Amino acid sequence: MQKHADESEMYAVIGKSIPRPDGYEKVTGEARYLNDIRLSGMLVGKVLRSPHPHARILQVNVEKALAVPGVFAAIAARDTLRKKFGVSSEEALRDKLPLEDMKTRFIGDEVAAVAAVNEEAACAGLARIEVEYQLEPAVFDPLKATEPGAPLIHDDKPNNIAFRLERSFGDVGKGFEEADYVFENRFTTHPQAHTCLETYGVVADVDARGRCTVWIPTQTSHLTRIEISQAMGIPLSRIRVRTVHVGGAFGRSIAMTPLAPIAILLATRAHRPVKILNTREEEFATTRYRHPFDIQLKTGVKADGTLCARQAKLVVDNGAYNCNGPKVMSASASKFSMLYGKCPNIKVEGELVYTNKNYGGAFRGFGNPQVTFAVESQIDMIAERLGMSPKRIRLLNVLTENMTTTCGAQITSCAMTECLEKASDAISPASKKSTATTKEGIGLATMIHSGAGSKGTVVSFNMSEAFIRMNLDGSAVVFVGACETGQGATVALSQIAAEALGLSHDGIRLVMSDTDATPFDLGAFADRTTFMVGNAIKKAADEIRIKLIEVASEVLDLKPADLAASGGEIYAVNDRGRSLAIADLVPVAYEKGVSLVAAGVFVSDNPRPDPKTGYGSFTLAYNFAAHAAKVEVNTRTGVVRVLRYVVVQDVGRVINPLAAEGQLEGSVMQGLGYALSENLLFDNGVIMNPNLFDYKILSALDVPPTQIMLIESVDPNGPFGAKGVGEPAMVPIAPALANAIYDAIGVRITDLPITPQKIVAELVKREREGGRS
Amino acid sequence: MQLPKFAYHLPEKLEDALEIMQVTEGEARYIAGGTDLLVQMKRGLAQPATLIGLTSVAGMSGITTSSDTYIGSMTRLREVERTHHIRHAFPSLVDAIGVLATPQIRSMATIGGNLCNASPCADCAPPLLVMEARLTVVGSRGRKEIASEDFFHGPGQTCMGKDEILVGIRVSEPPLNTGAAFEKTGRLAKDITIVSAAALVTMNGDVCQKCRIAVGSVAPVPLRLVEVEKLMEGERVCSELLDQAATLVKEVVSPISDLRSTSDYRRHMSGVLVGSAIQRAIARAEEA
Repeated sequence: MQKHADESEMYAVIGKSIPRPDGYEKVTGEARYLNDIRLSGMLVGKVLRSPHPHARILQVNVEKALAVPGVFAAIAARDTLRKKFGVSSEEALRDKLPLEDMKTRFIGDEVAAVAAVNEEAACAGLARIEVEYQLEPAVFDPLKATEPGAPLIHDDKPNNIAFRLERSFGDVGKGFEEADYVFENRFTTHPQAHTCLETYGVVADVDARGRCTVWIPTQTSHLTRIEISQAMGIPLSRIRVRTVHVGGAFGRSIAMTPLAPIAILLATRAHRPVKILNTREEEFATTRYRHPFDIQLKTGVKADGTLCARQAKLVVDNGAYNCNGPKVMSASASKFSMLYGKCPNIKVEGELVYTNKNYGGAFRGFGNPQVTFAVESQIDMIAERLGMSPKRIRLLNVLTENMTTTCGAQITSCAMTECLEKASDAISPASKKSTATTKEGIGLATMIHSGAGSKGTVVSFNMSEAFIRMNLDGSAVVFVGACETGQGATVALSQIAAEALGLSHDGIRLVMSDTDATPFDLGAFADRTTFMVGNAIKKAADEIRIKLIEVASEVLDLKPADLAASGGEIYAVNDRGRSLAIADLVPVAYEKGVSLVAAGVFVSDNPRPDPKTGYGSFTLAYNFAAHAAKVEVNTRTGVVRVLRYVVVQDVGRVINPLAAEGQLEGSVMQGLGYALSENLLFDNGVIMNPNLFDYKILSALDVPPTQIMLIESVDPNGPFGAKGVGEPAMVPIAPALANAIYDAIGVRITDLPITPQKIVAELVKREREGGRS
Repeated sequence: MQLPKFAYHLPEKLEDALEIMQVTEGEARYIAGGTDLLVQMKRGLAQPATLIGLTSVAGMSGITTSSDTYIGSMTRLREVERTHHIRHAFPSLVDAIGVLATPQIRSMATIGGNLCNASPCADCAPPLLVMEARLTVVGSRGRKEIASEDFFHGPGQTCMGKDEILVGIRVSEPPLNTGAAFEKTGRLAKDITIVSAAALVTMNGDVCQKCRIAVGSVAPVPLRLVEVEKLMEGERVCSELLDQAATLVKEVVSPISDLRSTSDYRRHMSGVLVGSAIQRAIARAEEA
């Protein structure tokens, strides 16, 4: 916030810590969520899920369920189109059916469903559905799944390879030859569940003519509408997707789940609305988790610390279906290539492998935390070997403003150097203490992430559109297809609209998500809402402001160029006393027949990466951050206590410091959970901890003092210079901790999560080998 | 997962509680705060057709102090930890309750429920074991007192029959120069116990006159470690002795691996935590 503070003062609303309008409703309990929707005659839907990790379905009979009193509908695959869906635009990568017909591929796979007057009747109905399975051998480990003779999970995918990629920039072979040192290390990561407070669900209402209204806690109402249309063969125009308050998303709600088609079909059969809401156990059993990665990292470095060759081999555990898997792995390859993207020789190879577990999906960071854990851990190992400080080796190799990376990413705004300096200065090495049983350490890590979205999951472009209309009282209504999922889009977008229109922030009402009421938008992912939707809103608002100023110029008899708008007034720039309230101008404009409705559209016009080579820029702006962690490690118990956590993030212009800090603090909590305690534990395909008792997310008691520093790099393409905020702070947390732990006790953990057991095991091993104590 | 249907009785007299159990021929379950049993029922791990609530039974709640302290088995954990006399005289029990679940759960859960659930990791058990608490059990054949170390028979199993109810816990006031402490480790600040340990010592200068040690979550039952007690008693306490004690602890426990931790880590931590508990108990004995 230091950098352009002077410029920020130019703005009336931008840069102000305005409390979120949805905050009051949420804190008081007034906010309505999916489970609060009560439609007349609404039924409860329940899904019958496979109890086997891998089985052929020989027969499904739902007749007896229909005989249960209170059951209105019971469906299986034969009642559906049997059209495979998936978020990929490539048909060949779509591999999931709403209800499976031939095989089930994980415990929890959807087989049949019922709708009944209440949960009891629905469960009784499920119990009467007869399914005959023929068990197949299952495979759970991605490294075993590609071995010859492994059970085949999808008949058309040999060796269980769902997707493969290879990207090469420069010549890594040559790069390794030129290197003074070559480092080779293996890193492994684990599955993390989104663990939203609100479990996922759907309410479907289908009218007599087949028009569907579907409420989903989605991040992508318009894309989900397309997915529903494709999966069910229903014309797009007959589907309306809506949201109410969303109790957490974090990527969970980007892709459509089978629940939407199932609920629509049940509602159609039953001639009644149907609500399906996951139990917490179902939520975990079907969670589309953060993919576990196995990363072989090879890095060549010159004696002066310059990286000259970087190579990664990724094996990604896809689980039973693709969902976002291919995109996650591709995004991961991009982020790997861009972080230290000055290095002239870079190569990534990836294999996405099917296993008989529930499947991975989009999750805050989208493949980036995994590769960043590897890269940012290894860079510390390199620094130590070269006798350099972790900060210095990074400063030598990080990206800077106005450059093109080896992989073709065009870096516009970039304050990475400043982030690194500030993060590094925030925690003094002199503050480290130690006792006989506790040692303190400091760790640093950096990241690059999308700050402006990427092309859509089911469409091939990145665009947003906004409508604005004025009210007679001088306030405005803004219609956007973006979604508020708790990330604070409502307040940020309101501030952008208010600033551009010349209104105060409470003069804006936002209508979001509803696909009947709002223009097209890709939704909330890849940190795109502030940047993309903000730009669209700004365009529409600029148009209305100009019209209002024209009307005012006639009334005040001044040139439009001499007028400005702010705080609900149009005023003379040179004489603030000569002003008109916008509330008074709106009726004047209408009387003159001036339209006060405007649309703004914004398209990401960056040259898209070459589909074959991956060369290019996939977004218009990038986010950068450096994190610093101070930890205390107990050498007897292996327990890691995070004493302090510092996030320094380049966010472009800050729209709302309070909301931005809140997003980053939340990311720290989720990122510390990923690094230290959250882990989905599988035993032969069964999730052993499908509950909040044994799936350990951090509580308030576990959160360290966290310091957030926002660096304003002001992006040339962002609305008022802003970039996205909320997604990236998750990314470098695990390596910052791993590096701090190494600094404290000299133990390098390369397998996430970092648990006391692993630390004690390493310390015991070292003691036996008589190493450093 | 929904709570299945069940019949519910809330007797006010002990005889009635025993009689309802008899009428249902032992098919019913007694329920106290419900923080364990209702969760098990929701998960389908217990399916009693009838529940007999004990929290309204006269005389089963509350704490009285005369020569001994008597804690009614239906006393909520929150009341136990907030009672001045308990805080003063039995700090190891307060240590344990203070890290047992959350204040919300402790406002429902009872001390008797925590013991009768007979989890190997029951947090109230190690401190009561080292204090040699006596448990008052009432059944159709009358009233008896059971030593706490005889109470636990296995995971989920106590020495009580279906026709018996734990009505209270009796603990003696600690003698002079005595201190006790409880230690536990979990995955995060609020967690079920991975390993726990309690120690009670009576000191004479730097000589340990009397020592009681108990551990949780490292055996099928919360366990007294008599071997370690014998090693300590009559000895001058020094770091070598504590190291020996920790080593012996690791030899005598028999932890398992599960989704929460590994047997290796539990074994390692049982030694560490017993050592810390003894040290804190000694410090408290010196303050006493």
